[in-house]
Amino acid sequence: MVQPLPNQPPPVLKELACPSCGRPLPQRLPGTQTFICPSCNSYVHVGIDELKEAGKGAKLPVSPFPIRLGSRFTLEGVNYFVMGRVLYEGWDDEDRWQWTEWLLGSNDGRLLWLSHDNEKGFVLFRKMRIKTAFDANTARQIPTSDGKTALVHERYPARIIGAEGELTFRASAGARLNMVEGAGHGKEYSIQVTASELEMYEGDKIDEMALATAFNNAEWIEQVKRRSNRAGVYRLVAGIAFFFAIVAFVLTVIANGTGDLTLSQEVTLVPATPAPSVQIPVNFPQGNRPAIVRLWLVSPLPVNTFAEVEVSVISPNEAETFIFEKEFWHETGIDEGERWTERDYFGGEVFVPYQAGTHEVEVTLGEISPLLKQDIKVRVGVFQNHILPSYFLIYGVIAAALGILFFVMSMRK
Amino acid sequence: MRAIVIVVVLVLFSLTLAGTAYASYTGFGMIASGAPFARVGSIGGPAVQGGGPGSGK
Repeated sequence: MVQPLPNQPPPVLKELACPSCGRPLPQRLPGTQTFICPSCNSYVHVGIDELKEAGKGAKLPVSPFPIRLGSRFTLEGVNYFVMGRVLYEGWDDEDRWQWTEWLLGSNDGRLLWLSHDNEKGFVLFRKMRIKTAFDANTARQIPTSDGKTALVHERYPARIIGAEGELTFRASAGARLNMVEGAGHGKEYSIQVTASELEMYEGDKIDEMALATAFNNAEWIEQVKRRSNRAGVYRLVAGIAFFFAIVAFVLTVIANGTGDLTLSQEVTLVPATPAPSVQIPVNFPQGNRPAIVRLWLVSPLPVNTFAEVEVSVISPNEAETFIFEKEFWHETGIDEGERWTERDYFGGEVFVPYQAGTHEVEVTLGEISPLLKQDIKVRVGVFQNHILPSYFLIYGVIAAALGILFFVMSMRK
Repeated sequence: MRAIVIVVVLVLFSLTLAGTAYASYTGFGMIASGAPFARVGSIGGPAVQGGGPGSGK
């Protein structure tokens, strides 16, 4: 149940002053340990009877959400007020990312952290009592408040980029910490580890619309609606892209099996002759349809020899077009004490006869191993009316990539 | 707005799939034997008109 409240700051407990610039720092939380001066950006630590400056930081960029210091809101029957904000940066070997945490005081005396990052959205974390030993460096499970365990998902270093307001821990600009994140049983878990302390938090995801409604911010509500509509469109586009990708992959499989076998003939190429070549007539009743020439080596090659065979097509107008060259080979050797033998006796290429009519497929023996004296027997196959599968495959990959892109965009919070 | 986007996306995907099917059917971009624009043994293409020392023609 959401009940908006007037935007009134909580009462001031104590009036303090920044030791650097003298600006008043009203203390509203009894457990405040750090103030960030809004004038000079000094981090001011609260001691037993004195304030101590702990360095200056850069001014915090404006929050992307209208959650301001001193704002009050009611969410699910609990009144909250915003006391502070911290902007963090985490990183790993490949990436850097940022997230924001707002310190919230509540009318039942608890202090909570409202966290936001682009992947998870908003999560309201409350501090969790540590009941069992937990090694932040190696543990794979997090002991939860109800005696169960949650799985650790991520472990990464982080630092404070900037902060504002009053905070209940000793913060300083650029301070390093290690994060452990996990999830389980519908809850999110966040563990923050510094040199001096380890704090565990358990949280629930909060729908942004519920938060915007709690703040009674019409502009924010409208933004969430627009974003939600946009996410819906992205999901729909992703669905369409995936559908077309599937269609393309099916067409790829179908096209891969197309082609009418027009010619299948075995030819013998004799190395001893000056220009060993054979011409085979083949009729193409219509032009501008893809055809495939395939070569299979019929006579096995002796080990560690090769033979190159070239294929050209002579059109009815006597124009000769080189199609491809295939190197057949048979190799053997020893690798890490094991004998291996590999051979390649098959090749093929697609071409498009521009003209209709009888063509000549010319098969010519090219360079061969000096030791190779035997005749080279090759089976030549020509398939007409082929449909190229590769274009459908490329289309499918691009459509699938677009689908993934739009799906990821639709998931951004 | 949503309907317009969906229609545009559907039309785009359909047109590009039709183009892909046409290219697959006609072998667009493959070696064309006997075509006026096809290579016929020279290393020069249709843009290579002349020759001369070292031209390779």
